[in-house]
Amino acid sequence: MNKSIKNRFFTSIAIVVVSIYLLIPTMWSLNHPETADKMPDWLPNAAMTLGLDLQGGVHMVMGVDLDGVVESQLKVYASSIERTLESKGVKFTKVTPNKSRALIGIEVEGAGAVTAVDAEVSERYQQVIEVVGEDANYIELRLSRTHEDDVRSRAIEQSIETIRNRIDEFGVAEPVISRKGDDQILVQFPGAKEPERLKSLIGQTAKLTFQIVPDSNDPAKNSELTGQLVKWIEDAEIAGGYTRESFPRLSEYRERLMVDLADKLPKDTEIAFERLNNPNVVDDIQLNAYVLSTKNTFSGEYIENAFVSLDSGSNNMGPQRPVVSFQMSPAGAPLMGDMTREFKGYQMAIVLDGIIKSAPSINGVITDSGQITLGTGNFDQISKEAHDLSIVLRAGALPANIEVQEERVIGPSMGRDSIEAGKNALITASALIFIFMIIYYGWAGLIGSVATVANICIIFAVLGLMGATLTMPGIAGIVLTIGMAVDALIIIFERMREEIRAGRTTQQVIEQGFSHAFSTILDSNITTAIGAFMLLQFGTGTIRGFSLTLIVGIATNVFTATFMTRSFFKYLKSDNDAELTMGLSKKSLQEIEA
Amino acid sequence: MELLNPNKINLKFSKYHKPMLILSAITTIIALVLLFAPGINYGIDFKGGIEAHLRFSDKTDIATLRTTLDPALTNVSVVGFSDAANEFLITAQEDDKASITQALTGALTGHYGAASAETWQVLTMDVVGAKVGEGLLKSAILAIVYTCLLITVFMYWRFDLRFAPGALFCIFHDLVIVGGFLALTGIEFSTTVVAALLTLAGYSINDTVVVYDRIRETESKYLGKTKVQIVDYAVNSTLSRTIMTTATTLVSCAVLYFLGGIALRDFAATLFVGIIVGTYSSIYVAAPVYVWASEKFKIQEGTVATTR
Repeated sequence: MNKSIKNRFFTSIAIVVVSIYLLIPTMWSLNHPETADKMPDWLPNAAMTLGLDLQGGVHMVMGVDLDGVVESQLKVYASSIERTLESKGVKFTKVTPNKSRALIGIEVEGAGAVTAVDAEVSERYQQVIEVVGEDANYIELRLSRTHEDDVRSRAIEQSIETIRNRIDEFGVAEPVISRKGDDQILVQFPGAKEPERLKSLIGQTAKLTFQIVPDSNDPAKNSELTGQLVKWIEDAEIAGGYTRESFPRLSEYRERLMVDLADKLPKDTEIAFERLNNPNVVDDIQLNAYVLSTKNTFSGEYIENAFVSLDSGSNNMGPQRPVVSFQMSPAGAPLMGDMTREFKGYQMAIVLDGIIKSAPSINGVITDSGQITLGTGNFDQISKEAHDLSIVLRAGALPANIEVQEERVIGPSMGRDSIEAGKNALITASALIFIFMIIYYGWAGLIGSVATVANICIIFAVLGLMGATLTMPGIAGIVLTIGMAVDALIIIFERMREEIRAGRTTQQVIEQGFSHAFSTILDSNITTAIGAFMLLQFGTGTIRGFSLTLIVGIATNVFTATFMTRSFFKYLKSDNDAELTMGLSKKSLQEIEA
Repeated sequence: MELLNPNKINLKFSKYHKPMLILSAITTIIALVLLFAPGINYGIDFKGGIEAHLRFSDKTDIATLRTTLDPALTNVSVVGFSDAANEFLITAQEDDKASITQALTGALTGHYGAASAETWQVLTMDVVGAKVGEGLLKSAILAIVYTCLLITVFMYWRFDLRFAPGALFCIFHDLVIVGGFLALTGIEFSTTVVAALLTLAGYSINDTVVVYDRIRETESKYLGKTKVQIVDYAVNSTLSRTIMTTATTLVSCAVLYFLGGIALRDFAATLFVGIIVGTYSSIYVAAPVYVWASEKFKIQEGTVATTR
């Protein structure tokens, strides 16, 4: 026998054997997902990861409010420019950050003022702020392109980092956290049990501030201000025709009130609410309005550590409740000390994401530690809340607001059902098609079936080596590939029948059959591959698993049909007088002879 | 076993080219109309909202579920599964409430108790923001358009100008008719269905490639024959393969439909119909368009049209 025929045959066999070896880990994790970590060492590290749809889990896409980040950066620069101009004695009337166009407008007075601003900006804010337009007494500035891009990408990276820290602390196995597009973050965790809780853990901005309550050292003045505030709010609600219930979020209600009460509130103050549960009625939340200083504040970023502890109970009488204790960093401690010394006797509100958690009075100088008490409720709920709050305080605040744009939850039982369904579909489809092929093409059909099984093994092995994720649509891709593999074989086999009918010898039949079919097989597989590649570009989540299996399947298909099957035929029918009927009946073969 | 002997059969497919083309045109137009009214039933992947597949331990019914969920959610739809009496698919539109998932779980907990294996559980839950969906729809449409164009360019490169129009017509014909089928049956247009359509674009052209390949081969063999004779010969000699392949792929799809679970049902149905349409179009769209195009673009046979 020709040596190269032998070589090809044994190469094919070797490839199949290696594939089977490589695919054992994947089969193991499919059949016994719970003991996947107990696989013996001699097995290759080529198990496909099961997609979220097969093992259950949560997939989330979060949108990061980058415009908001740019806007707040703009505000910071605007006030910084304001101070600079003041110190330089440049006369100006107004510095306004324009958020919709990302511009800062400065109205100036007097001759030469515009030039002075121009010079100041280009000296101090080189490469950060650009002048985009000016006339006699107005100048317009903008964040430079590169700086704005920088601000945006830094905000995304920081957000990812923060989310990663939070999830790590919460203790989720193998989370995927990655950037998606310009302003999105993809978060996936397999098998998560409490999606709602994780979602709020991730989504919380966790901006913590300590703000002094003005006049709170004087009970009479304080209650007067509080009384006024309640009246102002009522008036604003009547004038504007809205109530708290008109807004989906408390923060929107608060913003509206701040706009309406802008000229009534004392200088450098803002409104914030404390949420109080009514202990007698479930789900009845009362809002307690406060006026808070925006000048005498202290940022929570100086918190170094936070943990859950129990308070002493109300005057050592009531039950103990979980609270979050925190410690200040060495850099923050002196600043905190200064503030609490200056405002001894005042109330200091602890504000988390715009909501007052508590507003204790400052009884002594606080430098390095403190406590945050949480609302009322059952012990279990509060201790979960305290646990999560301590995580977000430790992990730090998010630099931007984030919003869940897409969320997919797959329950664990659904995953198991899907694996079963996928397995059944794969086995049934293969069995039916093999029976069909063997009946129709006889011996050749059997060889084709063997080649198709080999094909499936190679697909799984290649995908495993690539570290690909197996999803339910991915299994569908494999079932479809069987159909396509068989299509390639049918093209070859039909061609071989034609060659038999043309009265050729067995060797000619094999040679002609394969070589004529090759270009057809290649062309028809490439057109499918084009669709699959486009799908890979478009695809999200589990769909990518489908396009990937399809692409790998197409490649292995062309290989098994044109190389492996050919070598099987040539090796097993190497004699010149070997019989090759391709399933044609004796009668029709006799007709051909004649 | 042998179904057809190409040497013995000589079906005159070309006799029906004209009526079949008219039939294809009419079907395509009807499908286009269906795409506008009633139109595609976009799933939450594209229009945003929530879709939850729930399992209840005790039997509950659609009416109870609907009255439970109606106050909490907007545009609620509740669908049961024919093969699992205690499972329901719930979809609802996004609204300005803070959290659509909380609204759903809140309403269910209020009526059935907290979620657990003994009361009710979430098998899958998808929430998509409306803005995300819009973006996704745009990229889905682009992906489909690019696929069609790329395949046509590929056909032009591998074959020539007489074959490319047939390929383009075929894909367009197949996708529009399958689209019409989706609109008619109200199958939810999801990312999985887009996957089916893109696969179909490549897959339905499979048959066309096989027929065209044979036309090209025959052309150079029988220079004297008319185009129509060549086409008939090519279709006849590949007919046995066409039937076999269609049968095996349809079996794959049918198995996926019945055994692949709920997640793959729409996918399998879309492919099933697409494969049938694709097989038809390779005989009655691709072939006649080739005859027309080869008269329009007279290319010296035997020179360009040999296998590259």
